[in-house]
Amino acid sequence: MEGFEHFAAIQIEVFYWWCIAIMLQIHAGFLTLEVGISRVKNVLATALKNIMTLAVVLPAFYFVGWWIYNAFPDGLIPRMSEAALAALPWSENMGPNITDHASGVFWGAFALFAATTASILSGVLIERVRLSGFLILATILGSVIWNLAASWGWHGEGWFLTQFGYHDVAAAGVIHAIAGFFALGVVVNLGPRIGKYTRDGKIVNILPHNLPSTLLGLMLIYVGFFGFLGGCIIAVTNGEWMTIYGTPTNLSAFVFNALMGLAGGLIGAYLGSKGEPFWVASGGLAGVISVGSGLDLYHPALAFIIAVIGGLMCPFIGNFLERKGIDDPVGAITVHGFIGIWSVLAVGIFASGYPNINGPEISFIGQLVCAAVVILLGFLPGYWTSLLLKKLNMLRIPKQAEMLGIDLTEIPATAFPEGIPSTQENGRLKMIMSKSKTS
Amino acid sequence: MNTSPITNWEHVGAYFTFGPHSIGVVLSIIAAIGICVALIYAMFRHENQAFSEVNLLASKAVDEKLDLPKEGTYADPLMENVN
Repeated sequence: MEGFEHFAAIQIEVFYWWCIAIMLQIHAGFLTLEVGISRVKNVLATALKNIMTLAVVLPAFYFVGWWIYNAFPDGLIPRMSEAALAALPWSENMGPNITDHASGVFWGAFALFAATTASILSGVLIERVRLSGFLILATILGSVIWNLAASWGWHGEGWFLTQFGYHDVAAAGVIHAIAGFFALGVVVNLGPRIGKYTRDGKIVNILPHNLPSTLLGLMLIYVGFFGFLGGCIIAVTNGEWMTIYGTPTNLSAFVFNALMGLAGGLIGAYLGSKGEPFWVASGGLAGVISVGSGLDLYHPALAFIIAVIGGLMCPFIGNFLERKGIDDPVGAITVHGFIGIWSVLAVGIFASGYPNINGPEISFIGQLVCAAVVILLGFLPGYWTSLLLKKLNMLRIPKQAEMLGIDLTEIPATAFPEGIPSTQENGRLKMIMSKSKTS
Repeated sequence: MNTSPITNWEHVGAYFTFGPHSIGVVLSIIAAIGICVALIYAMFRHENQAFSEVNLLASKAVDEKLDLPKEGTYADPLMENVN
């Protein structure tokens, strides 16, 4: 028996190891997406912002974030439980430990959730945020705010579950919506890019310098999302899977709805945007997010429909925000913020009545109340922190730097020193050579 | 909408919304297939409209520029004297 349990423990360890690795692809995806959306003069600054997100959020999550997640399921007063104390950076479970096959890989999966949350913020702020200011915001979002939301709503004993029966299996509310509304709070203070709006408020379309790069980035995120969803399921040594809420499920359940969600989102966004490539690709992501909260519960055909609705809404919400002066170049506030909330509410609309192990059954009111808390928990800290940074002149780059481009003013490298020259085909060269021989 | 086919988690098999072989599942499937058909129809309509606009605007100019070959032969405009 001992040998079987040991083998099972190693298997679980390996599973989460590869989820962590695949989740890193989300960051490759966000980098590629944002670099494509950016103008050429800012591509390296944009890319560096994505890379440095990992650099700051991972250690901050180690030092503080993991403890916050484990200590605050009851609200704002920390527990002194075994799990909370074990999450402190000096505990015996927070480093190499032969008898502990679980702490590191669970910590690692959560650390990548934290980095993903912070990455959602990065695209909204491209081309005008100071890198240092952004890293402060990313650390707060990825290691404090999201962790608090997850402690409340993505935890087997969190008060969202115990009081309201909250259900959000793939963290559409506590990761995506939190990040989206935090970003909204920041962008209210940050302001739009120079030239985005005319003096009388008309919208100017600042075109992506490389839309194919953006589309590739979104496809990379689809792959990375599988690592994310894998990290959202809990493996136990008796061979069964369960959700973070203790209810039984399995990867088969997840994959039915994840893939139908992806397809539904693509279709919904295609119909809503009349085939505009950026929104179609973003719609795929919106589709997966739309079904995330109820990933373990929906019949796949229903998941498909929920995702179609999510994808369909995206271009309209995006355009609405743009008309209201919110310059979100990558549509993250729409796709993650608003569609994250749609995901949470969809569980209340389409999956009420499911029993919980440690709380009341799922209900629309329960989902609605928790969605409201998530919006406030995201927006208010984002707004206040960015306001403080703005007052300290730490939020936005100077106007001259923005006009010249961040790469030229700050980055000690150049992205395309030869431009991107066109090159001839080999067949054409042969034709020219044979023509010159005969003439 | 209460769609849970279960009231507790003891000895549960298929537990998706509406439950197996239910009206809810059948209606969801019909709606999902309908959406896929609607997509193809919408695409088809968009393409027809886009291509007819191009035909109206550029038909003569495109024909002249391409200098289309006689029926039965094929010529790559870049590769002269090659069939």
